[in-house]
Amino acid sequence: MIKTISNLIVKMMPYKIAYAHCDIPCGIYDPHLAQLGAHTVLRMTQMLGEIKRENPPSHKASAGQSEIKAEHDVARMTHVKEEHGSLIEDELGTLENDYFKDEHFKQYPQLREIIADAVKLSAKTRQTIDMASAEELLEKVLQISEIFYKTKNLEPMRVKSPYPTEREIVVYK
Amino acid sequence: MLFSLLGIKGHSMEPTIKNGQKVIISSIPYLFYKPKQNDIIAFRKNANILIKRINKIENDKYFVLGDNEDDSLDSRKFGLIDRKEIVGKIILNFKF
Repeated sequence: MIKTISNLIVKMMPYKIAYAHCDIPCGIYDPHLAQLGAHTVLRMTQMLGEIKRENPPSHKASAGQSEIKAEHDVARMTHVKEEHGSLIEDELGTLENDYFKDEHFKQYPQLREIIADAVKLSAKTRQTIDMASAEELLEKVLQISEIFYKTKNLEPMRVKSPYPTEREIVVYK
Repeated sequence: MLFSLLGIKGHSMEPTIKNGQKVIISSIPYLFYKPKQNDIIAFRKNANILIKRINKIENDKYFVLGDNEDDSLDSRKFGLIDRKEIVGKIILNFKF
C-alpha cells in the first residue's frame, strides 16, 4: 500500500530529463520505415479480412486443403502484421528518444501525445483485426512524419502511395 | 542539487535503469567521499544531464560506461569526464 502510494506520488512529481544515450549519434533519422510499417499493418489487416475458408459443397475433397491454406495464410499475415507493428514501435521510439528534442516537443505540444497514441494503436492492431485502428495508426504516423519534416525545415506534403493500400504517404517538397 | 527527480530517456543503462524510469539523484554522498567505481552518476554534458556508471578513475577523471555496453554513447566516444561535471549519484531507482 505504502509502495503504491509512493509510486503514485513519484509519477505525479515534476522531474527533469536525464539522458541514457544510446548508439553513436549518426544524425540519420527518417520516418519512412514507420510509414512503411503502418501501410503494411493496414494491408495485412485488409488481407486477413478477405481470407476465404470454404470451398463450394461440390468440392468436398479439396475443402480440407482450402482450410489448411487459409490457416497457413492467416499465420503468415499475422506474423507480418506483428513484425511491422514492432517495426513501427521501434522506429517511433528512436524518433522520440534520439531525434526529437525538448524544443521540438515545445514547438509541437501535441507531438508526445500523437506518438503515445500511435504506439497504443500499434499494439491494438497487433491484438485485433481492426481496420479502423489500422487506419488511425497510419494517420498518426503520417502526422508524426509531417512534424519530423517540419523540424528539418522541410515542407511536408501528402501524396498517394504506390502501395495496394491506396492510402497516402508523407514526403517533402 | 541536493536531491532531484530525473526521468530517464534512452536505453544505454538497461537492464539496470530502463527508458522512462525515474531515479532520484543527490550530491550529498559526494560531500563525504569521492565518486567511486561502479557508482551510477548523473553528469552534465553539452547542456544535458546524462547518467552512466563509473567504470574506472584516472587522476580524478572518470571513465563512464552504460550498462548496455553494446548500445551506449559514453566515455568510449566522448572521453573522460571531470569531477566538476558530476552533479550527483543515483541513490534511488524507481522500477516502474
